Amino acid sequence: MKETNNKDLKINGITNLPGGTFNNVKINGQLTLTSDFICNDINVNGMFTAEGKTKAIKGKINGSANFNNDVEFESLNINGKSLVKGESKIKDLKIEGQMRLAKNLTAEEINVFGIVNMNENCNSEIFKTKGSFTIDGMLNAGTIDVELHGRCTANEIGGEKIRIAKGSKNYFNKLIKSIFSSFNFFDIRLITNVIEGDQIYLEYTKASIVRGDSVEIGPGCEIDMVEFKNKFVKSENSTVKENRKI
Amino acid sequence: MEINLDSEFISKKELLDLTGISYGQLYRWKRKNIIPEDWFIKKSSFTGQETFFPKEKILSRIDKIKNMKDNLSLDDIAGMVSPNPVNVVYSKEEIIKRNIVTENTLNNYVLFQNYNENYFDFDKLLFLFILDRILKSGEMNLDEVKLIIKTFEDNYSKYNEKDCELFFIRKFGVSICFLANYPNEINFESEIKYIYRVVISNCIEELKILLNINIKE
Repeated sequence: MKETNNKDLKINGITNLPGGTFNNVKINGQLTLTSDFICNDINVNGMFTAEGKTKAIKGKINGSANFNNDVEFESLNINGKSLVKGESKIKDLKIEGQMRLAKNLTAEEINVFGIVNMNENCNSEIFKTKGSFTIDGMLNAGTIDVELHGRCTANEIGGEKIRIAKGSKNYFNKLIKSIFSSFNFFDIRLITNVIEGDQIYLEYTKASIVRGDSVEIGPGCEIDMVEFKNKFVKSENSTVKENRKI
Repeated sequence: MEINLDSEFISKKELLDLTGISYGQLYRWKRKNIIPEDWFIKKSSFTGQETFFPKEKILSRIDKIKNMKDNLSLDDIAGMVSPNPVNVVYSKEEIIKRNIVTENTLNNYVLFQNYNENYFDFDKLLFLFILDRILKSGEMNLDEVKLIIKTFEDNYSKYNEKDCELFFIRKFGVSICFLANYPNEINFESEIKYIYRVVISNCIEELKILLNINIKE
């Protein structure tokens, strides 16, 4: 898609335009693209709205971006605020600000340092977070590495390696706290119904059922039932109502 | 109801026990769309909510994945089992040479549809493939086969990559052919006889496997 003959688009004022194919798109003011668009690189410092489908190689949102339809990115970096109303296919997603995805997200690697809200499912090979997430559907990832700094919830979690641990760096909390006042800091834990995976390590997790090959329960957990195949270890500071070797 | 549930569906736990795969593998295959999302059926059970699968389908799919995964990457397998078409074009000679359908089927197709081109893309190959099966089933006469192929070809594009099922039914010698979304739940009066029905995604899968084997050779 590296087409050099496509024009750059740079907006400093406020305008509405139809979509199309562009090389680099830079928005310092306010732009609404009213139909599908394709570009190499999009950089939003102001406000951007895409009414149609978005397809881009690289994106960086420092301001605010609303995608009212499906999006496809090779890499997307959210430092500001973003909303996607359609389906998302983003190979490499990094969220340092705040993002909401109203439909399914398919990714290769997701890194969350800020806040993410997903109303449907999240599929990724790697899912790493040091921020906070709410996933109404299922989180399905090969490697799940959650460092808890706030409250995280998912309806269901499935994958190969799942590690949920409490974050240790306090300065980080302060940092996010100063940015997002709505962040819940006093309830630092993960809440879910079901966790299923091969190797599972959990801290400060509340779950109804945890199933896995090897299940290790660290401190601060409240789990109704653990089903394991090979290994089960439990910290004294956790409650597991029932455990069963299968 | 309980009996029905046991024979048609299999719980996740039973599935893993039976096939020896792990949760991680199951979720990986789901991520890769090798196991479709809508096969994960949530039902409440005495231990809370449990996931069930259509038994026959999931067992045959896992069997297939296990057999293929030594030679093919997961993405390749995903491509083969997905209902989406692949980019292939075959000439008549190639179709015969590669033994995709018989020459008789090919000639019948050309005759039925007045198809004078020498080349067949994936959709056309699918029509041929289904025609081949229908002819081999030997349940219908040529006029009826012609009707089926025409109905299918005229309407198939409306399903737009969604799965559908082809029906051919008969009552007192009057035959009717139609297409319906799959999965479906269709019930007829008792005099109706199902002469032929086929789920298109299964055909696509088989055709892809057939094409792939042929390409490799």
